[in-house]
Amino acid sequence: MNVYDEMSDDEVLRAAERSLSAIPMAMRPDARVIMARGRARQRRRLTGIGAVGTAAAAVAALSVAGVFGGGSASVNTTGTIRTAAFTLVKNANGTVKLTLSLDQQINPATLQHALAQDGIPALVRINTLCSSNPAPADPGVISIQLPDGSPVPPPAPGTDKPVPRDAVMVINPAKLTAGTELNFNYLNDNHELHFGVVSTGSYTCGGD
Amino acid sequence: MSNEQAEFAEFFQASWEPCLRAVVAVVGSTPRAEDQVAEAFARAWASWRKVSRHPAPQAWVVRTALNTGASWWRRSGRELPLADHDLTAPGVPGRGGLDNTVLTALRSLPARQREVVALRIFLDLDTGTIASQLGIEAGTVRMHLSRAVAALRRELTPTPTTEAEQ
Repeated sequence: MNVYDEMSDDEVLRAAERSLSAIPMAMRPDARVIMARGRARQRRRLTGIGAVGTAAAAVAALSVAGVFGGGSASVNTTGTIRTAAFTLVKNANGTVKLTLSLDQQINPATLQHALAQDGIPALVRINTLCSSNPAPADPGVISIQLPDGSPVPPPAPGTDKPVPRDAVMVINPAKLTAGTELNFNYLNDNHELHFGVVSTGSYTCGGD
Repeated sequence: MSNEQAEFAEFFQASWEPCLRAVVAVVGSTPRAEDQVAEAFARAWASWRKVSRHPAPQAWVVRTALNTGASWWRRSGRELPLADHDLTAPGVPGRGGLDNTVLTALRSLPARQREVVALRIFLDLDTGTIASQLGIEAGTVRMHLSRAVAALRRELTPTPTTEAEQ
């Protein structure tokens, strides 16, 4: 006989509830982020329906062009995911442009999911730095541009340098080698984003 | 913010945690559940006129999260995370002193039983509403709930030890 034998059905369920309620959960995302994601979903649906040349598709294309200013007006895009913290634009050539508003709180699950939707396997973590040992070679999956279009040299191998504020990251998932994925680490205190390539399923993160 | 946006924001604020905990109870992994629930809320907003009139909108979110989760993990080409991601071995204290015995017992239940338990304890749904959400008969819900409680009680009851072992 133990404490569970004497419990009513309700009490057993409450015990389960208490245990599950003790699991630490990530902070609730901002409702505006979720609504933006819902709107992006609607836009994608409308764009899909109107691929044969409806006004909706034209409006979507114009709004995408506006995201990166005049320089991107000619970019042929196939979809946009826009939240308060980031904008993800998929180009027809398979590359994806990621712009982060580093002043906004990034929800790692939202960004990771958005990247996955665009076919980019990524590990997105907050307030920790992840790496694989040995580190997989980075074949230049990400190139970085400043808002004026000038390129930012990639960090030297073995160095860990944050992405400049307001930079645009162009991700080419075709360059990711098998068994690897991108890794984005956002440090809340410094509003810094670090990125790299890790081996899928074989990495450690500081604090884990 | 429009009335519709304010209404959704209020719903989202009140419902995020119970919906997330219900999905965690079923899928077993917190990061995976967060992804799925965020997607489900985004879909809820995309169809807010319909969802806001739903008799149990939180249940709609949970069902959507569970239905969509597996499919987009597959589409993304990523390996489905282990469902016991948040668990350590039974008897080993988990993060924050969690009672892993209960969590492991929950994990051992069939998925349908976990769904019924999750909808009951986190969304406080009655048998009829759970039945309509899951598309099953009320009697089937009662059966799942009864079996789940019996299994939990059994799993939570330690095997009697003999004097020699003591």
